[in-house]
Amino acid sequence: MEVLRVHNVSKTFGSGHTAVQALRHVHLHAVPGDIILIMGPSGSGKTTLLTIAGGLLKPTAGEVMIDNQELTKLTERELPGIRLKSLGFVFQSFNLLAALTAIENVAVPLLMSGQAHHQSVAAARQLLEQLGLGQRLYSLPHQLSGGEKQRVAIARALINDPKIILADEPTANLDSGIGHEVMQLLCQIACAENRAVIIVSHDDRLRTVAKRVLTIEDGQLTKETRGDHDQNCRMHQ
Amino acid sequence: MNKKLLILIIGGLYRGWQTKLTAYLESVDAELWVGQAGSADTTHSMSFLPASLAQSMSQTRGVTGVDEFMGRQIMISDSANEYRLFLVGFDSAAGQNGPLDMESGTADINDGQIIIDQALARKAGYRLGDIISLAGQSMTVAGISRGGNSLIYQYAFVTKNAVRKILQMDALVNYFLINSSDPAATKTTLSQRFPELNIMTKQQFIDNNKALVTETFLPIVGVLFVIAFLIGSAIVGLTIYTATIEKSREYGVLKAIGGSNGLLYRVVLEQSFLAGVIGFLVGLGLSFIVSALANRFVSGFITSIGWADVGFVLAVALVMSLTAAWIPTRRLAHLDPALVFKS
Repeated sequence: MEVLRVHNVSKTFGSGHTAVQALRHVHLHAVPGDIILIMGPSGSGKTTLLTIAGGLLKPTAGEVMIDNQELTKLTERELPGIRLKSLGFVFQSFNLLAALTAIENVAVPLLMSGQAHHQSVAAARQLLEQLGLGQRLYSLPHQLSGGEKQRVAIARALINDPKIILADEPTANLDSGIGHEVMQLLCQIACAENRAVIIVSHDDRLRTVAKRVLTIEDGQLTKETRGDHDQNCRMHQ
Repeated sequence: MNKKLLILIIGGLYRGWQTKLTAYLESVDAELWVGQAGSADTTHSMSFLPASLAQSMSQTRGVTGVDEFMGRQIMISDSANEYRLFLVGFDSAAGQNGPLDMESGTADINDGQIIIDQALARKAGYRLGDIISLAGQSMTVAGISRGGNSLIYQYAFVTKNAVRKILQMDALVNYFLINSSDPAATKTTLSQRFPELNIMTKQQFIDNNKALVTETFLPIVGVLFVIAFLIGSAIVGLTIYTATIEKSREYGVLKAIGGSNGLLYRVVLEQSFLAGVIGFLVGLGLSFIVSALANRFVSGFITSIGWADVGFVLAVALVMSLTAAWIPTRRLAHLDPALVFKS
């Protein structure tokens, strides 16, 4: 069953002579357990596709379905609710809230969902402990290493139990060892927790965890190949 | 915070000048003040009346008591400066119409002694036991009082005998203090019987004395207050706006992960509210400290900060904070959450 369906999506920025077509008739779908890596050069439309899939940007044409809901038909007031419940975001620069501790950062989406403070904090604590950050619960982002920050960001993306994780260059700011850990974590999120993980990246190493690798050029998905997930995912070993 | 301090201090100054400058006159035991025609206050014109009028006044219907008031402005000087006093003669044995409150020394003085206000004592450096020359009479400082600072001059107190000698008032008084069971009717009766005199109710006399300050200085203080409020609002607004813009990426993150505009507004409003309350509390504490220091070292700086002023400034602080949050929240509404994908 598809959890994400991008159908014939195009996106044009500007108009007239200055119009730039960032995406052209893009089709993409994801099912639970998928790990889709979207690769392409800078300016090819990777991030635009991710922001449209995440309901952060409206396409000029086409449809985006998340969990059987057509995003383009939702109002600006309804979209945040879908992002909160069905999507988890992992960013290249972590984007943790600087004034909040690790546990508070992770609890934020639950608090925004209306959960009680003590329940949110308890859930955040449990998740961070599962991710090996039990000793860093009350550290502020500037006190964490790059790998720890990314694990906190991943915990924040998972805390609301979303069906889809959208990750933008999740290993770009990490050294190879930490990057490998993050890749394994993404693998686990897809395989053990049955979520769809969609990654846009320049990082070729991510092929090792991807099930599908899509290449995007000039706003078009030009190629799809199999990733090396089955050989590398710890879940299969 | 500093703007709340400024508003509270200016407000306190306004209230202080409005209420404390005539505190001594309010304490004087009289329903009616009787002065020379054309003399309506103690600052602009002097009143001289024959002391013998007391008897005929006391025989007027409705009058229950007549007392003499002898007091007027006088200059004193030391080697470097001149100081303006309002010298009052009082019945030190009965303590009637004497100083409001004593800081040190005694209020029970003899003819060679004087009680000066603490504001003068600080300004001129006088201490108990010092000698002050008043119109050629040497007076020993026997007491230092509080509450007698009237911005232009400070009240000083000597005995009635001494004031007669110093001010050369042998058969004269400056005012008569009248007590009556029905002040309004007595005023009318006295005005009819003594048309050449100025008969004033206590409140009229106090208002006349306040007028110099309320009509000259208080409007300026009022304008300063309004300016402080406007500048305060602008600074609070700019601070909240800058803080919000500085954090726009974080607001973008909240928006991207599912935060609604309503949530972002609430965060900004809460922050602004909190900043307003903290600023108010710190400003309040500093206001009392600064005010006390200024009262001590600047003789004309007479402040009165009451609970009503504190409540008013708290309300002002909250209005400022919530107003200040308005513009940033409008900006957040248009914040593009996709900016979080830009590294």
